[in-house]
Amino acid sequence: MAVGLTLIFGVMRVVNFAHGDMMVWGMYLAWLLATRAGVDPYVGFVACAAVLFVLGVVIQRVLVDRIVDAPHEMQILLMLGVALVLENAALVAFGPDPQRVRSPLRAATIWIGPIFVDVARLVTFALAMALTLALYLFLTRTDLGRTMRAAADNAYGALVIGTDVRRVYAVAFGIGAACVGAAGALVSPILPFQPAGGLSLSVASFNIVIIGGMGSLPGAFLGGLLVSVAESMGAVFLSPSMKELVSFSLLILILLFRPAGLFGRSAT
Amino acid sequence: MRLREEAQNMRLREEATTQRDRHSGSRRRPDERLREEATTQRERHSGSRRRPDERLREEATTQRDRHRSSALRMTPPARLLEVSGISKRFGGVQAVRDLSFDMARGEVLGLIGPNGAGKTTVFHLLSGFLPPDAGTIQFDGRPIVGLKPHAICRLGLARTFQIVRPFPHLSVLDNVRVGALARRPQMADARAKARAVIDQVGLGPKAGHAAAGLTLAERKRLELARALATEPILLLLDEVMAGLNPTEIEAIVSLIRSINEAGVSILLIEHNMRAVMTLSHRIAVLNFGEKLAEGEPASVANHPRVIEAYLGEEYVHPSAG
Amino acid sequence: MRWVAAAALIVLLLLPAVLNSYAVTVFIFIFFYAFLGQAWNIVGGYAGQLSAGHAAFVGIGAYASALLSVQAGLTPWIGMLVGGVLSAALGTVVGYLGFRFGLRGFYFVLLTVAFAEVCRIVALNTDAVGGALGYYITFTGNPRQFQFQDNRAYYYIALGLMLAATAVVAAIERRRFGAYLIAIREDESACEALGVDTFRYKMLAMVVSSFLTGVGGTFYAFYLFSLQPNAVFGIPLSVEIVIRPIVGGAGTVLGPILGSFILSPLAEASRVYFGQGGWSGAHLIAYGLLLIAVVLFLPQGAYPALRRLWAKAAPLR
Repeated sequence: MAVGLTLIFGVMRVVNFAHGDMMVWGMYLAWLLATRAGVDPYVGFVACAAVLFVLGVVIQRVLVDRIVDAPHEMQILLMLGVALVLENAALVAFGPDPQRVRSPLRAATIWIGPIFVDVARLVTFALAMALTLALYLFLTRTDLGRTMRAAADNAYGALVIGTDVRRVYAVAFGIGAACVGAAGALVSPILPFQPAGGLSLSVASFNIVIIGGMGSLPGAFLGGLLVSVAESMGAVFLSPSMKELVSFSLLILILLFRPAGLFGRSAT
Repeated sequence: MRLREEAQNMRLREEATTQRDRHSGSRRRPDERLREEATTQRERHSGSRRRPDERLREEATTQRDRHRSSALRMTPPARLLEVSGISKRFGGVQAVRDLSFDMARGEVLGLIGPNGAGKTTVFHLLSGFLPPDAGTIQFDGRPIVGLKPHAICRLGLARTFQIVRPFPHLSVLDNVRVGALARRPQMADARAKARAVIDQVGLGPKAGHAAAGLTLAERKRLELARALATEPILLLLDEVMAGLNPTEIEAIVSLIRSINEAGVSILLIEHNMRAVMTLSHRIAVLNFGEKLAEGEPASVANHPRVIEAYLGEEYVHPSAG
Repeated sequence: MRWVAAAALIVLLLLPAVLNSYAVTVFIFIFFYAFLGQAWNIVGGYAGQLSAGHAAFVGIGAYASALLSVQAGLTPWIGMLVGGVLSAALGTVVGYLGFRFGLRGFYFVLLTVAFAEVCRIVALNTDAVGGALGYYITFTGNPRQFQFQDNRAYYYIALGLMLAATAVVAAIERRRFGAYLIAIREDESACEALGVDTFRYKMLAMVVSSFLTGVGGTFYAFYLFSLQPNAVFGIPLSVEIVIRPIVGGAGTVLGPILGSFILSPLAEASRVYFGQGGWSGAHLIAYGLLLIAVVLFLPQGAYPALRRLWAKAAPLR
């Protein structure tokens, strides 16, 4: 989830405010597949990723491309607009009530050493790791991946050597969206989701990405671990409804003292 | 070789002209008046009420500075700018290393050196955009290290940026007005001052145009005008001539000269040797953050290390052509 | 332009005489959100510091004056000033943290959102102010408690608020304060080099903006009579505040008003048209689309575009 966001920022310097809402759509798609087609989300996430990839590319081509060079406020507002549309389209399409996806794996639990682990979460974790690894390999081993990293480092330079920067941007955005679509699907059996949840997912993504460092993939990964641990601890020591408070406080602190995050590059 | 000779000839010709100007009675009066204006403004800003005899003494000193042609210095009571041992490091790069120099009132000091020598960094240090790692800076008798840029501007030290930064959506007039507001809080007053400065730099006809639509030469003038509108005592000009064609350069050179004659001291970063030699009373040469040489243009141009580092090795041995 | 504004003003003053109660309500919302948008305009439009958490100030002003009225019997006419001051206090904190630490653009937006959300979560979890169930004010209809039987009273108050905020913005624009804010929005570093204490002016803008917004919170509380943390501190309210100046023209005097006159009827219309469910979020889709359209085609907002058209039409008049 965070990896997708950081990818988009790293390559295009655009902050995707609609990230969380895209994820919600991923969740709903998974739900649709599960309820209408009987496809288990752990298989169906591929389809979700694909659909969101396309959505991402479309959004990028039609909208984001025009404002890549625009001042930041404009980009923010644009993505906010997209977020609004996505969130409320989901509202209109699916209604406001929280949903959850039934998966046959849901109920199963196993013992790993002394810990009692939910199989569903385990599978989610494993698949997420696998996808992250796949993305990493893509970025480092394939030509397109390397091109994307080049464009991220120096867009102008990449342009000069003949890179089709627009295509790179489209792919980057698409992959970012795909990540989040997959994430949504993978998480749909575990977390209840609703259209209004888009915002907190966006914020959670931003939290992670800022802590880990905007534009840094290992940062996003570590940031994810850090934030979830912190939130869980917050839920244990304070009350569960206050755990969001923990992540927001953490966000504020990080913004103030180390906006570059652990591994990040500067964001201007 | 030819360049150096040209520079020397230019400088001598220039010196002759300026001396003629200074000594001719009729030409002096407007200069004097403007110079006096600068002095009174300075008094207003430095906060201390100076007695008339002090002011006269100071004026005499400044004139004495200017007529001095030998290298032997008589240090007057308070230099306009005293930079002492400043250093700045960025990660692994020592951008400025133990640099010291000073400036007299009314002087034009040229700061030259190869790219990456640290010249713009010096500007950042002087104008408060970056704090020095070490060293002190005294401006108009007052230590300014640690002050924020806007405070330093209010003390009378204004700067331009190497890559010009106009306010793109505002008109030329509104751009310059922002500078004028520094000394004239009333909008109408600031507007009038802005108009005057715009006319002074020759942008009069473009006053209503949006800044984004100007040519590069016009934008450089705008940047200059904006800084000038803050009514500075010392003006830092960072490569104002970069990217201009020879005609535009000629025009800016005479503009800068007229600004200086009106009483504004100028510290000039420039790569255009002819312009620097023409305009500057003295020149300081920087290389790798250190001062290589300092002095009158002619002597600096002949300095072997300067030639080696900046003007070109081949000039050390005169070529046969 | 002056006589157009004067004529419009007279029309607005006389309107309640001919409108039914529903229409009056629509206008109340137009004026009220225009007021909030105008307050935001100072720091978001002129100074260019996009705050997406202004709902926090509404909420604080609302809860403060509500609590003071119900628990301490303090009349909201004074309570609104207290609410304003408390909001300004939060605004000072947020502004200080944001500006002192050099947060710009996206990071500042996030900071403001974070603060608004913290307020929301705290309010949700604090039973003393009603927690998740919300805080209710019993209706007494007593004008001294800022409560009126007649909808039209609220109309005039809202109109008054909108005009007051507009006057403040106009005054700012005429002065050095306004010129400096606009310049700060254009290029902060260049401003610093020209003697502008950017920190001070941004803070000032933030304080004025949050104070006014806090005052608006009192109106909110004593018009709706119920305060729900999710509604009064939530992002949707912040969006309502921000979108009017943006669509109408951020950084202009009339922008927020124009924006409100465009968006409120739009919201009402779509709510009537789509209106199923307690969550009439469909109008937000329209908001989103409009926001996208504005960013792509009219980045400066509707009012500057209209002004350009008006200027072009000038030779024909």
